Amino acid sequence: MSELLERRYRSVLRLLPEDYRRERESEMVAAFLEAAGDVSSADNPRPGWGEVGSVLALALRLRLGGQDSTPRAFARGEAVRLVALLGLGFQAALSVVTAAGGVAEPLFFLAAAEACCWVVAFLALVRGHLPTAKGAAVLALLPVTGTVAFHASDSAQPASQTASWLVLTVVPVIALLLAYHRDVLPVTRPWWQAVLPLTVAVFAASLALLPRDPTWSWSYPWTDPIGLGVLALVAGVAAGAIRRPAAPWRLALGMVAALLMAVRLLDMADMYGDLLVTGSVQVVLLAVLATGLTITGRRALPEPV
Amino acid sequence: MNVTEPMFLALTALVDGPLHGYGIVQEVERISGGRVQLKIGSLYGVLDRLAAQGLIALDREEVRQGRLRRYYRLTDEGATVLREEAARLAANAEAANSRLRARPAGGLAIRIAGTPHLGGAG
Repeated sequence: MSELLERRYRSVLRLLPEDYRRERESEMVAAFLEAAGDVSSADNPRPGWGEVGSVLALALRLRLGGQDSTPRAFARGEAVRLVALLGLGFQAALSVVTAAGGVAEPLFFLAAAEACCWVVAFLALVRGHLPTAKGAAVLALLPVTGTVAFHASDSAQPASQTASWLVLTVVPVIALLLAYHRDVLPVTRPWWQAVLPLTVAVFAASLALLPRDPTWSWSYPWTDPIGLGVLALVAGVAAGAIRRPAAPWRLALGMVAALLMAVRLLDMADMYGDLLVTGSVQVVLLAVLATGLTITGRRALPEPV
Repeated sequence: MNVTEPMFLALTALVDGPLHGYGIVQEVERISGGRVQLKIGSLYGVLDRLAAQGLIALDREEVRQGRLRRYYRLTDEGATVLREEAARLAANAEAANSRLRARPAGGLAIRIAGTPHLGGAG
């Protein structure tokens, strides 16, 4: 038996939640070393990628639990699943408005393809068709990549805006792929819960298309996609203050606030004057919301079993 | 209940008696003819799911050469679920086999009116 291999495997097992590791670590190490057979530390042995991947997948399922897991892990999983749902809805509404709003010719087909993918992904997720939702969301990244490549070659589009948009696009897809794992049973929500928020969001997002008055330049950051996201978040928190949402909603809105803050910070690299002042106000507001929602959300989590 | 292939094989591995973690890995590999090689992380994911549904239970613990071994056994409920799942798979396999037996050698030739026969020499 190699002590080095054992040490390395134990460090991989640190990916698992502490309470699970306390219960299972000795047993897993014994099984792993039996499977590894006779190896010498002189050979510099390491756990294979397959073993590391299996522990990573287990850690993910334990931390972002499905319906059969502990109430605490389930609540954490629900929070990330809500981030995926809100993110897909946001992308669906914005992409519809972008495609309908008269995008220039080379980008029109990309914008239309992207809008179709996001809308299908969002509707499928709300209706509980997980493979369709995942497939459409991943597919949406293809036209996004094309649009990003186009903007990267366009010197008029600041790189920071492209980067912040990319983050805002990729994160919901990652949340979808990670949190809707095979231990999660699909939940079918009624059609109105898919169509109504999407319709409202499309109307709200179409504000971005209104002609801009140069004397109101300070307001521009409120009508770009990130600004609209901030307004939607504030509306969600205001509604939540009345209904006192459960831990998953608070944590999800806290994560959305942190994400919007990160992308606004990226975006501010190219802001100046009034725009910079408004951007800074948004960042402070988002920081307060992210902190408050995360703290109250963590306090509201069910106790560990 | 959705019984995945690794769950099915792990339940099958425990039919003959309790096994510890690595014993289940070996038995699953043997039953599947080497096709399914469970990684340790995957194995414990499978064991957690089976235990949560009451299909397996902890039988005993042993310490061998300073290492902990936990043995798991099939519960009565686990045996029932395995029997039902095996019957379902056998029915599917039988349906496939009976259709394959009825299939003419060389497959069905499709002939569309007004087109030459697609089957070659015929």
